[in-house]
Amino acid sequence: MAISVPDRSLAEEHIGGAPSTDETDYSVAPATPKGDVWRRFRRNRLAMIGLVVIVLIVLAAIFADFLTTGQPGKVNPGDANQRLFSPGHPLGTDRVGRDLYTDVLYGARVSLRIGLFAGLIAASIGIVVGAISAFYGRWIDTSIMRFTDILLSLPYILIALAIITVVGPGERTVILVLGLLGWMAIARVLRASILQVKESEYVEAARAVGASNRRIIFRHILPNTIQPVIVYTTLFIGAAVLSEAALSFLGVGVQRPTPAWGLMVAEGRRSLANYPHMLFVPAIALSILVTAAVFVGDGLRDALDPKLK
Amino acid sequence: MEPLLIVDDLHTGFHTDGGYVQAVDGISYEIYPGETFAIVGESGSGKSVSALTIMGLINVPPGEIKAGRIEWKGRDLLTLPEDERRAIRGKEIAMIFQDPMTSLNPVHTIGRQIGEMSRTHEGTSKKEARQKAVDLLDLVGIPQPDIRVDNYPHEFSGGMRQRAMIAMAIACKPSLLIADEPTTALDVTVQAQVLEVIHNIRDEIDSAVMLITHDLGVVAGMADRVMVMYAGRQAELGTADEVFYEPRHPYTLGLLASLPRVDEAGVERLVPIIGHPPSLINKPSGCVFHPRCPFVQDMCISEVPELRVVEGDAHMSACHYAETLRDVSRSDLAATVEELEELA
Amino acid sequence: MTGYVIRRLLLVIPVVWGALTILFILFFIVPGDPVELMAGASGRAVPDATRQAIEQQFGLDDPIIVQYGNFWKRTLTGDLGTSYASRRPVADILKETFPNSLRLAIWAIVIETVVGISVGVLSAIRRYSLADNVTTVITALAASIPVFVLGFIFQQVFGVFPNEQGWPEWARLPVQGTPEHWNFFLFPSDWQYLILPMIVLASVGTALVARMTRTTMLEVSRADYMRTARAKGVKERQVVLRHGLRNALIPVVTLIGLDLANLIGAAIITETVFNWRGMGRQIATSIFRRDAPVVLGLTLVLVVAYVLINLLVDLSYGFFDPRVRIGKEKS
Repeated sequence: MAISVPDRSLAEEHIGGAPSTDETDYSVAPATPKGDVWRRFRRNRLAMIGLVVIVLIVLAAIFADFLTTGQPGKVNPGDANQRLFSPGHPLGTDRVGRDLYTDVLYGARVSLRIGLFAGLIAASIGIVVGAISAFYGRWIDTSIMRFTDILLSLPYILIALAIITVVGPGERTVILVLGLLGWMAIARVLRASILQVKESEYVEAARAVGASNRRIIFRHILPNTIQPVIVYTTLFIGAAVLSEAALSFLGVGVQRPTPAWGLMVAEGRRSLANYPHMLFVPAIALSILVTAAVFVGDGLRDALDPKLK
Repeated sequence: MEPLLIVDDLHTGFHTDGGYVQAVDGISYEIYPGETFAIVGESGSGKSVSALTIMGLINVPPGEIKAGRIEWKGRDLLTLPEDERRAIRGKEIAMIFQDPMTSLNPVHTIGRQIGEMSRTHEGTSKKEARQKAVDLLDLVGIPQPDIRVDNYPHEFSGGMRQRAMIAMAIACKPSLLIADEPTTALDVTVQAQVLEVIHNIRDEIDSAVMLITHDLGVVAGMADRVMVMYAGRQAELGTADEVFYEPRHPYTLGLLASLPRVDEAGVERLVPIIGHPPSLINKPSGCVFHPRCPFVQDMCISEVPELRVVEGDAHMSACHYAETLRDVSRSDLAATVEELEELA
Repeated sequence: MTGYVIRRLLLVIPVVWGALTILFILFFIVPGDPVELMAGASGRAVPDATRQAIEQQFGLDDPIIVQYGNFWKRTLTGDLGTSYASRRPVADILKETFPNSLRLAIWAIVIETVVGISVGVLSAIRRYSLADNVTTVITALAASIPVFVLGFIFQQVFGVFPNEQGWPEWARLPVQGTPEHWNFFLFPSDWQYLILPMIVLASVGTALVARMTRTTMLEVSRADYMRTARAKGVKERQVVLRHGLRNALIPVVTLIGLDLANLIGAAIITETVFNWRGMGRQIATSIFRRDAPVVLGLTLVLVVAYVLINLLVDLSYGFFDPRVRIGKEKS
């Protein structure tokens, strides 16, 4: 028997607990995860600057043909040793008359190609190896990790040096070598990530509900474990660009006439005392690209990891 | 008797991306020496935040403590300079937290963490502090305290960790011990043990206890007085007997009715509180509980009810119709709720 | 505990074996004629007789497998071979270069630890302040400027320029060379030679340590036990240092340890720029010259050092994080 409380109809109106205001109820879960990540990334000023810079560099590289009339790597002894802001040579020329502005633009292509492709190779191999290692477990895991340890114990630069010396320098070799020497860390990172997630409760829950292994992998495990890989790969790309610079400095990187920033720095060293711009122009270009990559990598890491806000 | 703690019209909120969260929305109460004062409410009711505000552990941006006064032994904590507040923290008012595993530092021994209390406030030497820690561990019932004192937190079981936390909190014999959900993270059997420890400690060091929980069962055994909170505001305040046997707020009624009871097993359906917890950013107008109240009236939507005495000397409720609830029994409530559910 | 250490030590063996085998393969299935290297260059063809003699002496005419076996045989007896290029025993070359690399690496680590951690802690405490943002940018830059560029800049600023301007001795630093006399292994009498290479080598690592320390400090600041420490009335500085930093340093220490393992070999660029007589530079030169024994011998030492340091880092983990200690049972 109901209570005789006057005007029960009012209660009826409010059944269901809907808030009596018209405004959005903020206690409900927010936007989709992807939108979330982008939103957080956008708020990170340094990361956005880095992203813009990278986009600009990419655009400059793509449209290099339209941004300059010079030929990349074209030697012109008559025009040697021009300083910055000389007529016809906004960034000056080097010892043998190559226009720095043109070379820097085309050199961007090289650096970007090397960074991207080395990163792709390293990431592809790393993801596959890491995933296999984590999912199959047992002795496959142990042997793969052992093998990774062996490769990691070899000094990176020296091995790259050895291989390139043996095979012959050039852009393609550099890309391959950097990629082949970089997958190990990615494999490790992914493996650790997967192992952690595999045992977590929501995977257990999915299994309890009867989700197939395939579904679990793609819908639960992968999205959550791919994050450190993304961050690491971004940083790896920056590191690959630097490694190419180091290899060029040692003489085994990209060869002339292709302009490459690392190569240009090495070449510029000789004139450092009299014409410092020959070294600094490509050096600054390198630093800007890598710094931007670092900011973006940082931003990605912070955006993907909500706890760190 | 003079109250130890007077909380007067306290407002604590947080600036978040979604808006300003009004976590504690004008609460006032007093705690007297030696009593066990329970604060009951769901998650989001503001009970923990109010305790943290008293302790001074709210980060001021993004938090904001607007208005209000917190008087401890005659001094307004909110106007004290930080180092004076820090002197009180731990020494006169101590707090233990919900999850002892994460609340203890994993790289320091238990003994060192307990000892830190006396070393900070009383300047004791390392050796003395360690001995004191051993004594305290013994007091809370940990076996082999002289060995255990050099263990790390991960070497203790859950219940033992919580006891260690209690030992740590009472090291300087505080006048008020705030226990924020001390048993929530523990097994049921262990819960009882830990509560017993708190109970005994209270007598041992002669302190008052503020027990924060969402578990009414825990309250029933231990509390002298009870305050029920909802959405940052007070719903009801009175002695344990008054609140349990003569509830005067629909929310309290709902809470009590929704408790499964051993003596009624199989007899009646559990009576839920309809609806879901409100947003703390856009609170409902008038009485904050009105969207879920089975007895809601016009005035409830337009006017915020004041916390006022509705029975006896000090039994207070924040409901416009508190007096009419006197005659409402559990089965009445169940029937009303059932009818309303059918209509929905 | 000892069982664990022994097991880990045993693991060193396959790693070293694997690494060296890979190198061996790289070197020996490859073009590049060591005979020419040894018999003198200047474009003249090597007379057959000489070629045969050299090949025989160095066992270069044996099939690969035999060469491989011989390599291990002599290595395991402590004979690291003889350089093709200089005819000196590899062991001598090792004695000259390894200590220098080690010294430079140790000093770089000292800088990384002291400067890196302090900067990281300060920027975590003053999060989002101007100092923090500036630090973030500087550390990103330090990690992004190619090491050799940094080296060149320092050489110019601290060495070449003061020289040209005729500044007094005390205001200049030498730009090339390795100290000759060392006291207590780490402290050279002619310490000026150490300054620039040490700072340049440490630059990237310091930046990384600072960034990681900041990150871990921020993570740790959210931990419940920090709130408990404050609730106990502990002074804020103690909370941050004794409770926060102590926990935050655990991964950082690992990073520093691994960096040490890397630095010994990876210093090649710095060594080249500053003409520092270390292993990295030596191996690089030897690679160009196809001087296999030097490369193999020195890299062997590098790999062993790397693996051992890694092992030490793993073991020290238990020292810093009691949760990981081997052998302590949960009561």
